[in-house]
Amino acid sequence: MGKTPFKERYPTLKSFITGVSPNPCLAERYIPKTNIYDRREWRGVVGTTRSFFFWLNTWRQMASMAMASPIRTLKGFWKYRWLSAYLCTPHMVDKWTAGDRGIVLKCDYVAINCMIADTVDILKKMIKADRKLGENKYSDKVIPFDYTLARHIMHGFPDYDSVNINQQCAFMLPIFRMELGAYYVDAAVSMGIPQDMCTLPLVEVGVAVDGEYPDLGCCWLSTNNPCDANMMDNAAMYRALSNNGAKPNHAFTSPLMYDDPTTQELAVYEIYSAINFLEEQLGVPFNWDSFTKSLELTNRFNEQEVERWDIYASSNFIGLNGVCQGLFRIYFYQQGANKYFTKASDRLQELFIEGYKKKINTIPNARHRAVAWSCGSTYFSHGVIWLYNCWGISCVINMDSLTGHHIIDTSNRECMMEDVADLYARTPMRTHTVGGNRHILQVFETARKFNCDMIIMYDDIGCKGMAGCQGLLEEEFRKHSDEFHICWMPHALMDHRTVSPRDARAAVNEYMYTVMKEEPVDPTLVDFDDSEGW
Amino acid sequence: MKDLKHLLRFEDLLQEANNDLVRQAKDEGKLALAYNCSYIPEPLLDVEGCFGVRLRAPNCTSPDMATYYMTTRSCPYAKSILERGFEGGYNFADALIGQECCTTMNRMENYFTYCDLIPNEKFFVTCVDVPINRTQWHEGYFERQLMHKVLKPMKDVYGIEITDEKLAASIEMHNEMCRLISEIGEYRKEDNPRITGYEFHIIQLVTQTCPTYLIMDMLRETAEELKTRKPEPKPWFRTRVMLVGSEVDDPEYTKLIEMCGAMVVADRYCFGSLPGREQIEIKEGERPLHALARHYLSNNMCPRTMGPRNIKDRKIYIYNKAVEYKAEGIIFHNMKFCEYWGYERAQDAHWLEDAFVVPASIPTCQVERDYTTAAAGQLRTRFQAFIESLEIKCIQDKKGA
Repeated sequence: MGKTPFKERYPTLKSFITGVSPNPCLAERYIPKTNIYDRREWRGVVGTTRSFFFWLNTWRQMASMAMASPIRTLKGFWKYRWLSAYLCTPHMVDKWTAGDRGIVLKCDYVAINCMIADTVDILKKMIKADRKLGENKYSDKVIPFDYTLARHIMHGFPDYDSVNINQQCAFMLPIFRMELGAYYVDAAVSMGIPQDMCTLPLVEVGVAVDGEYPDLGCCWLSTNNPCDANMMDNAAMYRALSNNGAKPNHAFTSPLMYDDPTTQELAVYEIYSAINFLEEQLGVPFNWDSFTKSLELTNRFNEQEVERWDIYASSNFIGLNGVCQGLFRIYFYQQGANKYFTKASDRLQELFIEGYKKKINTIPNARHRAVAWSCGSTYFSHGVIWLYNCWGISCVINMDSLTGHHIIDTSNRECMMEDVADLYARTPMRTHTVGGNRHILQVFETARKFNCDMIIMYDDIGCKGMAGCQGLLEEEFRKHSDEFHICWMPHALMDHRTVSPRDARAAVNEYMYTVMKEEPVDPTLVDFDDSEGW
Repeated sequence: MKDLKHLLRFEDLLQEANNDLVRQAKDEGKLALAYNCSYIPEPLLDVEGCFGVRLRAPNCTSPDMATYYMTTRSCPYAKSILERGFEGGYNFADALIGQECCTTMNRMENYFTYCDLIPNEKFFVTCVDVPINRTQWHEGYFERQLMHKVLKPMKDVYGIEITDEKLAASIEMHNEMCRLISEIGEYRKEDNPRITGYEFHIIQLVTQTCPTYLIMDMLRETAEELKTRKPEPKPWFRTRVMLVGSEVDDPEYTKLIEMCGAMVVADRYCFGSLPGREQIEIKEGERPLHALARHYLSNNMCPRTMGPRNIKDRKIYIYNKAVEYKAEGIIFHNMKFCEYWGYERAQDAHWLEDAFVVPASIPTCQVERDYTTAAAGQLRTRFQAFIESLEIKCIQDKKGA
């Protein structure tokens, strides 16, 4: 099929200069069979220039990581397959900003830049501290912990750096390159774990099976967050992460029925218990001032975030697109308030207020405002962008963003610890999916709050918690069918072979054609082959 | 071997959840408290005026309704229980004492109220939060959970006050049952055991699914009978195995293994007696409820407990029991889609093969199974191959010696 002529894409000079085209034909820009652009997306003069400099800046940051310890970095690339994923970062930026123009592009770059800077920082620390790349004293100054735990208590040890060990080595991989998720799933399955489990912990275990976790610190924290499978992967990775039992480990657990008042004492106890463990292992007392200060920064971020949500709920100024909004939020939850996030949040706040005051409609093609519910895919994290560009479905908010945003009362320690316990219990992929049906059914209340008419219901086929409530959801959806359109979008979280992005798109396409009787905004995006893409 | 006097009766009792003895207890005006998990203290449900029934769904081959609610990708055990609930198989239940231990089970228990499955206005489902770590403090927490989630609703809904005295009496009865079961189970350690794994499995299941006070006489008689029971002149089996994994509430599964030529000498699975049938000690000055919490928390080998000590202890426990019961190999299995045992099975098998944290290596076999023994042909092939490999190993060891 031939490409759309230039004149049809940009019928006026203005449309060319601004990059706002009535026929964007985004899929025509992909190299055949991939989702990789054959050339930079034209976003108008200003947008393309901004995009070019952002691209340069991304490489600059990555180069800074390599230059921080060049020999160790080279060794890392030689030793760890997963590290190569980060070479695809510029492509990830392209995926996450497809179709972005104007202030949305600005906001998205602020959020993405923050995540890249933070990731580069962590990778630098990991490479510097990894004993597998050479003995060093710095490693003892690092606290490794499971990435589904938030970082907060680690801020109570300000002389130590903390590294959420499986975030960079496992969770992020399919976001950059989808094949990498599948590779590590196979590695986990090769040791006998069934493939029908949730693929996220399988990838984590796969990295352990291949012996590709860095050797950091003198101890590590595991957790039961967010679900049964993730809890069990901690056991499966025990030998690898503890150097065959040599490194002490503590299980930092949170009750699943977190909003049951009778479980609160357990939640608080477990935090003190984790702090005691770290004090014993590190031989230094917990610094309450530093901890409290970090919580105050977290509060500040959360206050700003809630204000941004208010803007989403009450206007068409959706400053961050679906994927940037979701991952920025989740990433913040895991990392806690640090210099990157507080700075980015301040800047976003300025842009949001500016956009809101100017009443900018950032979703001019939107036919539906949607809430994306249940756990989303990693290899097709950009699916929400496709929903908007192809069908005009703007995902205003997603389930995993709505976690850990309660303000912590730092005025006295007892209240503070109760609030921190609550913060630890309400993690992404957990707040709404475990602990009873009432949590998952908050979807309707959320959709109403955010003024949505559609629910994009992710169907992660490996998730046992969600599989268990399928019928409940079907029945509740029927009860709410006059209020919301409900579209199921299947995926397999980390393994693109089970449900490919194309399969996920096909499910939505079918719904939009047959149920909604709508025509696509960009017909080139409806069905295209990206099986060899990243 | 001569048939056990009550074996047919026991088998009959396992044909449905609402069996003769359950009906008898209900006719006597007692409340039936259903439960699903080995963390729920049985004596707490067997207090005066009540009796506990661990839910099973015998012969459930096609859980269609439950599949609508829980998809084809959920644990078939949980789905079968739900299906039986839809069929009215648990209409006798007055309450379901649930737990938030595994999410699938929790979802299934929630459907009992969401779908209004039990035609009893007073029926309630309660969920105990069982801690994942284990210390003295956690025992106290578990005790408080039992107070909030079991004692309180029992009083509020049915007016049943569970006092220390009632609990102590219930624990005493439970201990006698455990003593009898353990006595019966000990015979499996003999070189030529006077009881089969299948028979033991049947007896163990009866103790979980029938009102305890109504089976005590039969248990006593069986224990007495076994004292003088003569085994076959020569062992009927070719090898001895230990069965480890998730729920096995179908004695046909044990029979399947034994028909392949291996005697199941030790049962370390949900519904099994290792652990589960140890007597509960009430320490001096200790409240019976605390004793229950302590016992059920610390004596449980469920893979959901975390931390290095618990992870290692589970492997060491399996190894020790295998040695104690002279098992020559271990069959690890998990119910399909079980997240806990899917991981634990693989890890257990690797650690025991590698002799990691245990003194020596033991041959292992790993299988995944459905709730029913529908895939019996495939399983039989696996078991036969494993048993053959154990025999070969045994011959080689003898030659080497």
